[in-house]
Amino acid sequence: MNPLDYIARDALSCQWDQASFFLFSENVFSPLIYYSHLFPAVAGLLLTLIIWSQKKRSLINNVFALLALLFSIWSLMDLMLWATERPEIIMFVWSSLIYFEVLIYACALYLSYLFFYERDAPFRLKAIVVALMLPAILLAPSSLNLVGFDYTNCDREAIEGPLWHYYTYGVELLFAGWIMILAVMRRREVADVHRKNQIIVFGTGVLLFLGTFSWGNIVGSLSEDWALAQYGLFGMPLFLTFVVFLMVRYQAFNVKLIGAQALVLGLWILLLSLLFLQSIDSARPVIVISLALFAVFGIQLVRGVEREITQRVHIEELATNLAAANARLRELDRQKTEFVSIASHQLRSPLTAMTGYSSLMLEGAFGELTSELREPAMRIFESGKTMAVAIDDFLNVTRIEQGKMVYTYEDFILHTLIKQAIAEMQLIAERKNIALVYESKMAGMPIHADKGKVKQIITNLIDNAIKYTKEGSVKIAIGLSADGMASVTISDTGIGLSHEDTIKLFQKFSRADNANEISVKGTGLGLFIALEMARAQGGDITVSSPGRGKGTTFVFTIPVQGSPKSGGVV
Amino acid sequence: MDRRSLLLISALGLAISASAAVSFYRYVIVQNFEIFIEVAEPGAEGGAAENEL
Repeated sequence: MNPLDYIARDALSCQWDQASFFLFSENVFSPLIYYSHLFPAVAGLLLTLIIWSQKKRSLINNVFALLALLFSIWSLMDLMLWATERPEIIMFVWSSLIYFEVLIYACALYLSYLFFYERDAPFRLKAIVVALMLPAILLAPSSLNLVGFDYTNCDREAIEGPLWHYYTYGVELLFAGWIMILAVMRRREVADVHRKNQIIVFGTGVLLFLGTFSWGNIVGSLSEDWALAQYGLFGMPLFLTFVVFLMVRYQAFNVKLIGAQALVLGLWILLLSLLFLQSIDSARPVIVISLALFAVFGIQLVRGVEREITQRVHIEELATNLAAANARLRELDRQKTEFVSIASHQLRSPLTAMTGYSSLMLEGAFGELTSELREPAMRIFESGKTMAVAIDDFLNVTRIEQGKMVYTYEDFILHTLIKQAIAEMQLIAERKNIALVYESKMAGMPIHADKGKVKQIITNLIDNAIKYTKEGSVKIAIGLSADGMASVTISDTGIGLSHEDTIKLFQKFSRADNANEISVKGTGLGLFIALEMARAQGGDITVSSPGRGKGTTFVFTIPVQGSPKSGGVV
Repeated sequence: MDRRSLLLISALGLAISASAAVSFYRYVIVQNFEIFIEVAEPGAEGGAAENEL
């Protein structure tokens, strides 16, 4: 007699039930078995579907989805072993479980590597993992995998061989140990505490999952008490809990939406599954109401998260665009500065010729000029000088912005320098009937700075004071500031400044609103350059004015070198 | 994922498919596997002798 025919006949005496769809029968003696298998299987399948339905999927998400899918299939196949009464199906399904077990461990290892290192694993590692899996896969149909079918006392079990007991479980434990080593090594390598915590949480989650799964299978297999093995399936929900925690707490996987969807679906399935427990008949209406409420709130939660993610992505896109626009603006500004520099240099050469020759003409180097020619020659000379100052201003701004302004430090006496500047400005002041008054209480004060730049600053401030004063005087005083620096105070009786003017006065191309009252020509760069030069040497320029029409006072400070000496009034 | 890795995974998939096909043929089609049956002694709890069909 065919052994299977014998079993088929005898099965009636064993009271085996015929399974529907290989999954549902009275052979499954406890509802807990359905609960432990179907809950993680359905949750895993849904998680896989959710991840694979996303538009943007990374490698780690794909591997995570594959792990969930493999676990779901394993759970369903294991449930078939409990439910079906047909030995040939039990033998085939049992022999095939070995593929899924080694694949689950390999996937967990690959997923861990991707999570810990945030890059794909090297080919060598993948080849080693596949090589370790191959014996289990290739020998799966042999008697090393399953020795035979155990019909003892109406049992319905396959008898596992050495391939399971020694090799497969060994490889599984090796992979779990490998994950632990990777986690420890990577945790030591990374410096960021946030990342260290992510590695600990993920490593613990995946090891608890594999540990629970292994414990259930290995203990079940070696003790042949398969009721114990079903508890191993709770490893998957445990792992999912850790993954959801990672998503929420550490924004890991960058799939907050998936986390929210999985959480909602998982809880919904959990509630739904309670309906099938026979011992809670009275609670069913409450569960049904809870299910309905949770469905509504769950959908709202998922939509809320989706909206938040959409907004975040939008903000990230805007930030990226803004960064690109900023970079473009910086490049344009650099090109503009370069253009101004080149253009200024090109203008300077012909201008030198114009002012030089007009000066020679005025001095009579080409013969005495008639009164008709003297006036145009004078205009050419003065316009040329004005233009040369403007070009120098542009060039100085360019140098400041490019950080190419060179400062040559030397020791000099500030008093002497101011006297030189006043002497140069004397003629211009006299033309406007403005008195230049200089008072020095620190005549011998030595300064260590760029002499040319300091003179340029003082000349600019005196020149401004003369320009914006219709009548009266410009006073220049030298002294010590409260913080021990040398100070040059230039005060005038000019048009004065409003409070708003004093705030913007040192900005590029800025002029006082009332500057047009006295038709003063200028680039609006002089004070900007002066302030930059002063600050570059450790000094500063401040401005104050009692108000429009009440004069202005500029104070230029510069660090002192050595001990100051008192002086007299000039 | 690089080309070599894809080839490796494809080879693994092929090996699993081939192995599963052999298992299906052996266990489901030709039903070639051993069955262990313990015959219980009348009146005794549990079995003593083990027969192989």
